[in-house]
Amino acid sequence: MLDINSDKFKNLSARNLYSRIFGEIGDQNKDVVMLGPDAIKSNGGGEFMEKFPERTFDFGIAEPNMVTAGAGLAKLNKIPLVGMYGFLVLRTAEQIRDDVCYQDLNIKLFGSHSGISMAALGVTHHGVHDISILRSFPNMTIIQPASPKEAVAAISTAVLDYVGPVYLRIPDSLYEGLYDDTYHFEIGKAYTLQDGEDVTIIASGATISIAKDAANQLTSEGISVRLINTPTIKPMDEDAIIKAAKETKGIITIEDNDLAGGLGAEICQIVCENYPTKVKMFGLPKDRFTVIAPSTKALFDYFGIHVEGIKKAAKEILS
Amino acid sequence: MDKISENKMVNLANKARLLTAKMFGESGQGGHIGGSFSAAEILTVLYNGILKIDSKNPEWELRDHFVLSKGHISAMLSSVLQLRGFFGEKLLKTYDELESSFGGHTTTYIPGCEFAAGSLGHGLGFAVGLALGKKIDQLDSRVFTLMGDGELDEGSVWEAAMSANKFKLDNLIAITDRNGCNMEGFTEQSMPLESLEDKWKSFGWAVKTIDGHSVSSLVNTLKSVPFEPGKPSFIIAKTIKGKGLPRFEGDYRCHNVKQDEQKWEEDYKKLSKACN
Repeated sequence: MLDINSDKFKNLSARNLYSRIFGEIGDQNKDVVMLGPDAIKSNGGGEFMEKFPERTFDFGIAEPNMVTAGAGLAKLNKIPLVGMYGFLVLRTAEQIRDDVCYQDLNIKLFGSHSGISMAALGVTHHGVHDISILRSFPNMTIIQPASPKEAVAAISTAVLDYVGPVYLRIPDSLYEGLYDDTYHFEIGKAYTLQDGEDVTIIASGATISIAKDAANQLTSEGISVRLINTPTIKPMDEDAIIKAAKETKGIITIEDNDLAGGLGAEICQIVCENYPTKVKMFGLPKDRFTVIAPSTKALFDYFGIHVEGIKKAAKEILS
Repeated sequence: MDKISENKMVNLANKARLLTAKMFGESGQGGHIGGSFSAAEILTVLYNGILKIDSKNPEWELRDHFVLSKGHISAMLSSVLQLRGFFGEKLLKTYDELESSFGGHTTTYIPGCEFAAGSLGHGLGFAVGLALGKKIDQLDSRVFTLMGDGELDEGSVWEAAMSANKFKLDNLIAITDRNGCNMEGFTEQSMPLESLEDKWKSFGWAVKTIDGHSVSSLVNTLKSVPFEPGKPSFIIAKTIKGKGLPRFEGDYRCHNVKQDEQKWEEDYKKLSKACN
């Protein structure tokens, strides 16, 4: 794992941070190769490409072949970083299932501009089904960082220390100051950012800022909130979820995936099977397309994924 | 190629047909006879005269790789691997059993099988990745892949074809089993492929068309790769669907055959006769 406290990773935009992380990973292991569908820089592979041009391969705008060729490279013990915009998981789903997951190959797919980062570019560019699809694939691990330190730790652990297929869902915005310098990332572990006993809020990636703001406001109003960040979407930390179900009066989930099959659906499944409790899910609504919006925040607001809505849900759980 | 070696190879291909028919017949499931039988000589020649492999050490790092893309001829590949000594004949009897490694499409649990294929259009891309990896590691070994001809309708095949040209993968040899038949009709009716030679040439490949049932032609052609330095090689192997059982030959309806026991017995007899 890379040093999360290194000056190399400070004061960078999310995109430049990913680029720095991949570049540093390339120094650590010469078998790491970068594959991109034209959009290598845009996906966050810029520094890797500049440092290791001989290990960077542009497959053109042909993502399915890129994923399958990545599988072939992994068969020869390369560690391919296969980047694409998050929505392209749909186009490559069969390649990911058959060539990556079924053959259990050591590939690190990463989906950039995930969720509704590209709000203004419209429905086709909203990556809100990737979790639903990939959550159903055996052997797949799904990781989504929420803060810069978590991005360094999670991405480098997934690439350098873990062997097997991983989907890194990397958001366009990261929350500064979520963790102190002692943060230690483990695949499959959820992190309790704030303990509480009235209600639990669970978020991941880009929605952590909304969750944190809601938790702060509810706390100041005298409601005891447990705030959980789950950088690993699959496998989910079931113990942390069941514990929250038992120790608080209900759970609120916040995500930027479709509510059909996303983070909230996974949590509902765990809760229903183990310790049924009230769950309120915030995410992109089921059976409805997203819409064009001027910003990610505008789209979150449009679908009621905002602090006021979460506060109301918390109070409903407690009423 | 001398006559003795040629006869030996022909005999092996026919034995592979017999083993394959028995897998289909004895399992009670039937199977993909048409495309299996059209590819018998191609696979037999690859495994017995071309590929640098060690059946006792299937993971040998310096081996040539073979990627079967038309995974529905899993039984034929398994038969050829068995005859090449990768495993005992008893394993073939597990065809289509619960949790078996051997079934309607390939798995990586078949000893010697490099790729789990099924959905079409994946093998060439996987072979591109392997060939690129060998270039990075400066390995002398090669990558061979076999696709069906109907499979060439898949867009991913042409994505892979472009990338093989871009990366100058002259260590990559793709063969198409050009039997002219799809599952429900002829390829030229379903989606016209011709002129196939021109298509692959225009994608930057060096192309040869041969008789895919002539073992001497297969051996000579496969020994002459790469056809041009710096270019991937493409072989159009003209074949007959269902080759070896006259009532199936050239008939697309033999793609996936189920039949009664009596007919299987007749088939075994016919195929046994072809084996010396």
